[in-house]
Amino acid sequence: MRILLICAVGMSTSLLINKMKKVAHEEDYIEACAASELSRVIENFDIVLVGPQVRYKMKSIEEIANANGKKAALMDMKAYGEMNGAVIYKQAQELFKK
Amino acid sequence: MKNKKDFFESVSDLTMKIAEPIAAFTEKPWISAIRNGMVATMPLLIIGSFFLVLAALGRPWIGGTGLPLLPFLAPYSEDILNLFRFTMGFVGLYVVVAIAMSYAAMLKINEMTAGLLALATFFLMTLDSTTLTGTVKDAAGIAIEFSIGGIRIGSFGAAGMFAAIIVALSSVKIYKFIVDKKMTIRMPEGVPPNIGNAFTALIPYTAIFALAWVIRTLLNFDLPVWLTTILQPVFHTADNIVMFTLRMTLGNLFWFFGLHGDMMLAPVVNPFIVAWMAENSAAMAAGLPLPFIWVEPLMRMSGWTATVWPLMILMFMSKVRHHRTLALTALPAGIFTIIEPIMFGLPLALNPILMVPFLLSTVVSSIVTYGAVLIGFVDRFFALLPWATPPFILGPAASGDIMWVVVVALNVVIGFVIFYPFFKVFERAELKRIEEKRIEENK
Repeated sequence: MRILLICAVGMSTSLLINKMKKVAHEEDYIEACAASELSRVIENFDIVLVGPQVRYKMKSIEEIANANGKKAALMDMKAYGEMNGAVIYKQAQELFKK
Repeated sequence: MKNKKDFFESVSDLTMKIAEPIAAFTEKPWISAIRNGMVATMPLLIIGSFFLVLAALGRPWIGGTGLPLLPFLAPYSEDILNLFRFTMGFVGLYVVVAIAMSYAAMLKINEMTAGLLALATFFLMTLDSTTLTGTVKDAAGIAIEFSIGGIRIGSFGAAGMFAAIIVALSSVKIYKFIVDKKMTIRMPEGVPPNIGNAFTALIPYTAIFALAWVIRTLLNFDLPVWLTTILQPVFHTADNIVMFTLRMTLGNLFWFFGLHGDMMLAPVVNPFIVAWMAENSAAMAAGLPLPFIWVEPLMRMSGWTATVWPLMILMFMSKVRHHRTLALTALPAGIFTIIEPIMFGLPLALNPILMVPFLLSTVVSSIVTYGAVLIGFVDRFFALLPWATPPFILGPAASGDIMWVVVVALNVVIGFVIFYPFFKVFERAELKRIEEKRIEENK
């Protein structure tokens, strides 16, 4: 599973990645980027998870994701703030299975 | 408990209703292009600033002693300034390329074609000659006419930035229009795409260059100079304590609703504060007084220092265990003003108890911070540093005035005093909630 995390500049989500990698499978690939980069990198990922602070961009993110046949979802706000990698990773798994 | 969640949800829904039109606006391709283009030029501004600081250390400009702070740098100071002049000092040139390329990516046209187009158009719109003429007086006072090869670079810096934005967007837009109308030379199939692209560009390039030439050379209309004339009053009235406080408060109001306020307001605010920063640094390099107060580092001095920082202190003191745990986890990021862990983890966002102190601290700290410059307690900023630089380092480093540490400390104290009573209420509510949950589980 290749997970793409989106936030404003890709700074705070990069903190989350390390936490997620602790619970992720070895073959999983997790990367963070800014919302503006999405259309350029989306083809390399399976699912897109969006940070709560950029949820006002959700519409355009979903459009880009859907156009590429990928799924996008908003990260759980509380888990995001606590940098709870396990919860976010589970969210990713559920979205992937859908 | 259930009611509380409903409240959050209804508040959140309301916010999205307010935020959506703003979001739709900031997501427009040309607005995004401005923002992305400005962001792309940041490294140049930061590097330029760095060398400006270095040059300033070799000059008697900062420290107030009338002597260079690092005298051994003095002989190199003038040469070091070139690293500032041709990076940050030419911000208009870089902005024009970056915005054009970013806009082209969104309109799905060749980025390189657009970048070159916009740069050439910008030259055609700002310059009308490659010869400089004038008169100088020689030692005996006799006027000598001179005519030498050279161009006027006055519009390449901050003064040309708004013109750069307009030129980048309009040249790419016109290009797209002409290509869409199929008014291009098309190569037969089998011609490599790169060569094909070069020919596609010929007709639109010609039309746009001719237009720019007519405006600048034939009609003698100088867009950057004209814009500077009409924008100058706006510039000097927009940089005031009320607008600054309003911007900070509006940004944090969005943050309260869990949205990235700074990002949302950037397309409108950044062209101004980047231009102001460039003006200040140019003034510094010329040894003149700095014209503007509101620049990016000023925003880093207030805001988080009076909200998230005092909150972290209160969390360390909290009786609630997960407050202390979260404060510890969030501390390393928090020092660099990465505030998301506190914002969403505590949470501060959508927290009805903490809304009042959050906004109040923002207002008070903005007034105190801007006011501290107004009354001359601290010096103005002339350098741009990475935004994540801890404020107590950023302040002195970007202004050469150590007293910024005092302003930052003052903001932390102000925030602490304002947050304290509200946080105690929040803390009690959390303790009660945890206790209730424990009883529930033990039943």
